[in-house]
Parts: sequence; C-alpha cells; structure tokens
Amino acid sequence: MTTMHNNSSTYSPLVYRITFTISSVACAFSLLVGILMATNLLTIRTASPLNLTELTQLQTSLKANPADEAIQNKIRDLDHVARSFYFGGMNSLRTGSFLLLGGVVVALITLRIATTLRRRTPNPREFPALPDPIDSAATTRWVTGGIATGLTVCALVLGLRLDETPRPTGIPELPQGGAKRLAEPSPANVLDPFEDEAVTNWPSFRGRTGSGVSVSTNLPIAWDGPSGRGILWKTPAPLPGLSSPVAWGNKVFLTGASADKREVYCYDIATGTLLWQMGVTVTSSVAKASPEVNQDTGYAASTPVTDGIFVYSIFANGDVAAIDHCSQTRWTTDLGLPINRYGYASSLALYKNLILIQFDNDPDKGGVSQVIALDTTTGKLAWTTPRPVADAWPSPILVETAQGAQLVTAANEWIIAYDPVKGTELWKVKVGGTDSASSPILAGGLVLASVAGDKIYAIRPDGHGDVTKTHVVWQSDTGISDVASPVSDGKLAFSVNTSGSLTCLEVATGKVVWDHSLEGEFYASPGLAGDKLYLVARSGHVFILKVGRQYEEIGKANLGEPSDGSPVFINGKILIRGIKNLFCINGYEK
Amino acid sequence: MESHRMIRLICSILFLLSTLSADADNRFPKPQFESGYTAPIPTAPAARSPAIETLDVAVLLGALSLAAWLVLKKRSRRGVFLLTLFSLLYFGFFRKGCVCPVGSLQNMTLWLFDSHTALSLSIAAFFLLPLIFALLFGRVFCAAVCPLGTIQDLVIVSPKKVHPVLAQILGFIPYLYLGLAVLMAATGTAYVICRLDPFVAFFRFGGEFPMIVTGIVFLLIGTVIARPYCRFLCPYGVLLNWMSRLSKYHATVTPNECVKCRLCEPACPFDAIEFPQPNPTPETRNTGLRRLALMLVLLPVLIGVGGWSVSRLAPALARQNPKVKLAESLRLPPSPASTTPSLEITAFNGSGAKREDLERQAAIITAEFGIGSWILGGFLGAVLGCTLIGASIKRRQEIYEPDKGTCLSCARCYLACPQEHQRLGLIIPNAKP
Repeated sequence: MTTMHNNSSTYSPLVYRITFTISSVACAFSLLVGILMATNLLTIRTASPLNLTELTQLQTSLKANPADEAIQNKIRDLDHVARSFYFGGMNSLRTGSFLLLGGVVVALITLRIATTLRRRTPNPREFPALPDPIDSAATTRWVTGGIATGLTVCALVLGLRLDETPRPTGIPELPQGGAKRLAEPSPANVLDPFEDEAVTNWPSFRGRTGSGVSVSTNLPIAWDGPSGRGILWKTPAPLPGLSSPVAWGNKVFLTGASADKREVYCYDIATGTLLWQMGVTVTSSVAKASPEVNQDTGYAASTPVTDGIFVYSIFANGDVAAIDHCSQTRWTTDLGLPINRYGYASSLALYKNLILIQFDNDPDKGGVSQVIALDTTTGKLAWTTPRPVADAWPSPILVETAQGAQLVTAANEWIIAYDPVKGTELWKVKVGGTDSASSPILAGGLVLASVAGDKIYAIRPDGHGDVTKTHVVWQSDTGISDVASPVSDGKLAFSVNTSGSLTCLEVATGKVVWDHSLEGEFYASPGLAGDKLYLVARSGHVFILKVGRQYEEIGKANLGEPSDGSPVFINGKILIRGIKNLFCINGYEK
Repeated sequence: MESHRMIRLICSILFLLSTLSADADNRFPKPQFESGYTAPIPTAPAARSPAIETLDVAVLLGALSLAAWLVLKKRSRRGVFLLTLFSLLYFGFFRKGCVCPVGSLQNMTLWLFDSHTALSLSIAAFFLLPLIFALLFGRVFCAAVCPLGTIQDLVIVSPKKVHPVLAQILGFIPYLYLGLAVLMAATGTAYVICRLDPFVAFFRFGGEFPMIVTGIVFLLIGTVIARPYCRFLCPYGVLLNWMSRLSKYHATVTPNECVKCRLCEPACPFDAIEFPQPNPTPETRNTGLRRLALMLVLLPVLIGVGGWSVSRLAPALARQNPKVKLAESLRLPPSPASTTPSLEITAFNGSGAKREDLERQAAIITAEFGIGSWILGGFLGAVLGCTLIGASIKRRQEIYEPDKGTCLSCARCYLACPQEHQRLGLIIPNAKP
C-alpha cells in the first residue's frame, strides 16, 4: 500500500489570494491594452496617408497645375501631418504589443499558479463511469456516417451552385490544348454592333454603328486644354495620325503611322498611361513602296475597330493587323497598296466575325474598288465584292433594318448597301459629285448620305437593286458636308461643311430648320450625346450646342491644339485626338 | 566628481532625446515634385546560408533526440517543459517559424509533383526527421520541438475535456486540411498551410491583421482547450499520428505495472489516454462480423462517392490558382464600372507573356485539379471508411495507456501515476506488517 503526496497540504489561502489578484489585474490590464490597440489600429487603417481623399484631390489638382506652389505646399504639410500621425500610431502599437505581451505572460503565470494551488487531489470515486465500448463504437460509426453524409451533401450543393454560376462570356473551353481552341472562332470574337456590349463601349469610328451618337447624357461641356482645367489626362501619341480612338472597357486604342512605320497604341482610360504600343509589320510590305498621301490624310487616317478581345487596324499602305488587348499580334495581312489620290482614309467596320473594309481605288490608275470582308480569326478573305466607284474616303456603316443588317457605303458615283455576311449587293442609289469623304448615317429609319459636290440624300433602306427612283425620300441642296459626316438624333440631322456652315435639317422631310455659320474649319465628324451636339473645329475649339429646332450654343471649349478627331463618348468622358495628344476630358462645373 | 558624472549623464540623455526628435522631424522628407525619383528594383531576401541551415538541422536532430530521451528514458516533464521553451525561442522566434516541418510538407509535395522544383536537404530533413522519430518514439516532435505546438502548450491554463462526438467531428478537419494542402501544393497553387499559419505572425512580430487575430483566438481557446491547432487542424499531425501508431518505443503512463487506480484519467489535457474497457454489453459474434463485412463493403463506396463529390468542386478549387484566375479575368469583358484593371492583369500585360501560353497553362492546371479533386475525395472517403472499420473491430484494452496516434508525449500524465511517484521516491511504500 502506498500513500499519495497530497497537494492540498501545500494550499495557502493568502498565496492563492495574491496570485489570483495579480492574475485578475494582469487580465484586466491586457484586455484594456488590447482594446486600445485595436482602436488605434482601426484609426491608423482608416487614416492611412495613402488613402487620404483630401491628399488625392490635391494631387489631382497638382497634375492639372504642376507649377502651383500653393498646392505643393499644402500637399507637403498634409503629407507630413498624415505620416506623423500614422507612424506615431504605429509606434504606439509597437509599445502596446510589448505591454500586452508582458500582461499576458504575467496573467498566464499567475493563473497557472492559482489553478495549481486550487487543484484538488483527484478522487476516482467521483469520476464518471467508463463508457460501454459497444456504445462508444456505435456513436463513432454514427458520427462518421454523419460526417460522410454532410460532406457529400455540401460538395454536391456547392458543385450544383457552381454549375449554375454563369461563366464569363467568351470563355473558351480549354481543357485540351488551350492554344488550339483559342485560334478557333469564339463568341467573344464575334461582335454584333447592335448588341448591348457594343453600346456601352465605343468599338469603332463614330461608335458602334458609325452614326456618332452616344446614349450617355452626363458629358462635360466645359474644359480648357491650355490650362488643363477639365482635362483628366492628355498623352502624346508616338506617331501622328488622323484616326480617332476607340475604347473598350478600361482600354483606349489608337493608331499612328509614318511613311515607314505603323503602330497601334493602347492606353489606360483612367490615367492615360500608354500600356503598350505594337508595331504592325506585314512580311510582304517590307519591300512595298510607301503610299503617296496628302498632308490632310496622313498614313493613319483610318480608325481601328475592336470586338473586346482584338483590335483591328488598317493603314494607308493597305496593311491590316489584328492585335489582342494584351498586345499580342494575332495576324497581319496585306491588301496591297491602295491607289488613292489623297491617301486611304476609310475606317473599318466589324460585323460578327467579319472585318468589313471599303477599299476604293482610282480606276484611272488601274485601281479596282471593292468591299472586302476578312475573317477576324485568321485574317483570311471571307468575301470580296467589286464596286463601280472611284477612290473615295467615306467609312462604311452598319445599319439594322427589318430585312436584316446592311453595310452601307458612300462614294461619288453610288451609295450602295451590301449584305455584311455574304457581300451581295442589296440596293444602290446613283449620286454625283466629287471628292466625297463624308460617311453616311442612319437617322429615323433613313440612310442619310451627304455627297460632296452633289446633294444630301435620304434613302429608305428596304429596297433591292437600283432604288434611285423609288427609295430616295428626299434630296437637299442645302447643308451638304464634304469631309465631316452628318449626325442625327432621329428627328433632326446636323451637317457641317469645311467652312463652318452648320445646317439643321428635318430628317423626315429634309426641310432646313436652321443654319448657322461657325468660326473655323471643320474636318472632324460631329458627335451627339443626349441633347448635346459636339463639333470639333480644326483649330481645336469645340462648339457644344443644344439639340433643338433653334440654334443654341451651351458651351465652347478649347482643346489647346489643332484637331481633326471625332469625339468619343464613354463613361461620362470625352476622348478627342489632337494633332499631338490624345485628350481625355472629364470637364469642370461652369 | 559624482555631480559631474550626473550632469554629464543628464546632458547625454538630453542630447540623445534631441537627436530623437530631430529624427522624428526628418523622418518624412517632404515630397519633391520633380525629384526624378525612380522606384527601387525589388529584391528577394537572401537565402539562409548553408552553414546556418546545417545548424538548423543539427539543432532539430538534437532537440528530437533530447525530447525522446526526456520523454522515454528520463520521464521528465520539467525537462520537456524547458526544451519546449528552447524550441519556441529557436524554431519559433529565431527561425521565425520557417521552414517548419508542418510547412515542409508542401515543399515535399511540390518537389514530388513538379520536376522543375528543387528540394534542399534541410527541408527534406525537417520533413523526414520528425516522422522518423515518431516512427521510433512517438510524437516527441509535438511534445517539445514544434514551434506551433510549444506556443500553444505554454498557454494551457485550465484544460477542459472536449465532448467525444465534437472531438471526432473536429478530428476529421486535419485530414481535409492535409488533402487540400497537398492538392494546392501539387498544382503549384499555394502553400495553404503557410498562408493560414496562425502563429507565424507572433514569431515575426508582425503580420496581416486577420492572421494576428486568428492567432490570438487560437491562443485564447488554447487556455481551456489544450492545443486546438495541433489536435483539430494540423495536417502534419495526421502523418505523425500514422507514424506514431507504429512506434516501437512509446511513452507509457506508468513506468511499471498499471494498478488501474484511475488517477491518470483527468491528467491528459489532450484526451489521449485510452481507458481499460469495462465489460461490454453482450453482442453476438455474428452481429459484429456482419457489421464489419458491411463496413468493408462500404469502404470502396465511400471512396467512390467521396471522389465524385469533391470532383464537383474542381472548377472552384482550380480558380484558386493564380494562373487560372488570371486567365479567367482576362477572358472577362471589362466592366464599364471599373476603369482600372487589376494589378495582376496590369502585370501580365506588362510582362510580354503570351496569352496563349497562359491559357495553355491554365488548362493544364484545371485538368490537374480535376484529377486531384477525385483523389482528394477518395482519400477523405477512405479516412471515413477506415474509421468505420476501426469502430467495428473489437479491441481489448486492459490498462491505462496513451493512444499512440493522438498522444503528444508531453509527459504530463507521468506524475498522476502513483507508480511514477514511487519511482521518483516521492512516496514511500508502506512497510510490510
């Protein structure tokens, strides 16, 4: 028989009381320090110098006015205060953590001593009865079964929910050989310009259907380029060009070219940062002669087009390229050197998986005009249709009619509509004039085409064959634009010619509602957003008018440099290309 | 003379204080707007020198050997406690908790599955040595060497018993965690164990806020539920558990013959002492055999169902991989609401990497997750099936002894045993009449 050492014999109430008191104080102290540290931490996190709204605003102001010393001093002072506060708080946290550690250690030691002092000698008679092993095993089996069932149900429910989760559009299913599948046509690679996605972005020249109209209403009407007021950013384009930007999501694309170099640029829409620039080199074009171009046209007058995955561009030498939004060139192709008196200038259109190109050439010099469709995936020719016209500069537009989508082209001899899928001619209207550069638009269900040196034609796009005598609703000798294209809200159409004569016509009848002479020359096609009309003069001044049956100027802004770029409206901002810079305008309150 | 010394001391203190305040003023240079500042090139911290790595392995080997000696030969709780303190300081605070054997599990996995990954000898040693010791002497690594275990061990104040049902449910989590960690490491997705390590923030005196909070919560729980991470989360503990079950020399509660005095019943804070079985409720042999046969049949079914169920989650699991995630983000049409791309997309765009390559890699990883999730589910099904079989086999338990799998060899139970007291000379056997 043995006797156990009895812990209770060493129990001293006084020692216990002291250790218990110390442990209580240490616990309370640790808790207090912990609460203070947590509060301090939250305060520091919310007042981080990197997240101060005021500081960010000041920094933005400084970007607009880099030489403003008052703002610089304000930033310095605020920055100093914020950092002092932040690092002061961090120091307190460090001190607090040592205090907390000390408190916790004391609390733990004293608690251990206190519990040891109070420990009673175990009395097996008071222990619960040992469990029946058969019952324990049964419980184990039931619990295991429960876990198995629970896990299976959880996995199934989660799996089903994941199956129902819509996958991002355009995800190619790539379990076997991603690269191969990527080369095949994918839904994201197919742009229907009449669908929502194309509406919210600005995928091509003058927007999704080429009419220069935006659904946005919250666009700025006041900015000043020279001082930077109302300019979110401006950034130079490495090479010159008269093409307009296109925008998709958070990226803006632009082209630029010289006699021997062609490039595509991608900018961050938020900051104007040049994300990448990619040269376009077609193997066959290395030995190709440089085209002769007019100064007013240049080597990159055609606006590119994007389907959200790739950006497609064409240059004055007939080189076409498809580059993805991450700067990887998918394909390039050479259409041959355009034979064009002033230089090739038609912009691209995109319908589903086809790039549509109005490739008009001078027949007197052996050129053949045609409409060309290239496959977006491979760059290979999908179809080509010859056309009986001479070299021209308008861009083709896509219109949606009850009979289906049409590609409408304008030139000096004919206005012709094609089936964008097959390339077959649908209807045509005989016109006259010379050197037309104005693109057609769809307004109030009519195709309006301003033909330089001739007339403005309003055509019902539901005919077949030569509809000159049957489907021309009205013709007007007034308000003919030669370079800039017209724009319309569906009821009224606005047309400005090179010399600044602006005419408002009634779409349904062709009657002149009003006309007004603007200061300056106009090459850029106007844009219409909500009830505002934007006209960019070659000097860089932008006239902002209220759309209505009376002339009403609501603003006049200045870009600060000459421009022939058509405005792009996206997410409450306006993008305009100047002669040197690309501008993103967010405006200021008047 | 004394006063001079005092004045000098005060002047020195004042000078030091003045320099401190000057530092504080100059600490934040005022922003210069045309400074021409260029961002520094990021550099990775230098690797631990081979000499220090060798020292680490030597210390680990020494600590494990010492732990085995203290637990099995010396039977010294005090010695184990002192070794615990040393291990916490060395493997925890000095080595900053990395690489620990728990995390090395992922290095080993990645090395096994990725032919491009190299494995240093020290990491291999950190992974294998605790397992070898567990195979020979039980979980002596957990007892006094693991930094994650030691920090929890020090905060045990008043441990309570966990209800057996709850303990069984929670005890399944380490298997799940182990399976997920291996899957994530094998696919090169993430070192989940390191990312979710709740204590490393303490060892490094800093970390993400959620990490610190999780660590504090674990330590607070650890005051009443002894070593919650080791028992209900540690994935490496699963491997140690398996090895320890096979150990030849394992700690025993009593140094001599068990007298079944029941005094050790409350001694283990980890509920790792197996009790002698009372006489069970009578059950026919046929009933037991039928049940066992049923469970054996159920095993492959559970493996299959587990594999199929978890394979449903493969796409979601694959999306945790940065490459798969990036490929998916790039395929998404940009949201009109957000004007700036994510950092990952910006980095990818700036890297010059080909989109096709990324897509190909993402496709391969997704396929790996497809297979891996089947294996993970099968593994979990097997664990459950084996538990069912184990609970259907009758075992005879005559004395109080540690559960070799779950016992952490901490030596706490030794002093509860009267035989141990007698061995130490703390009690005197009654004189024979």
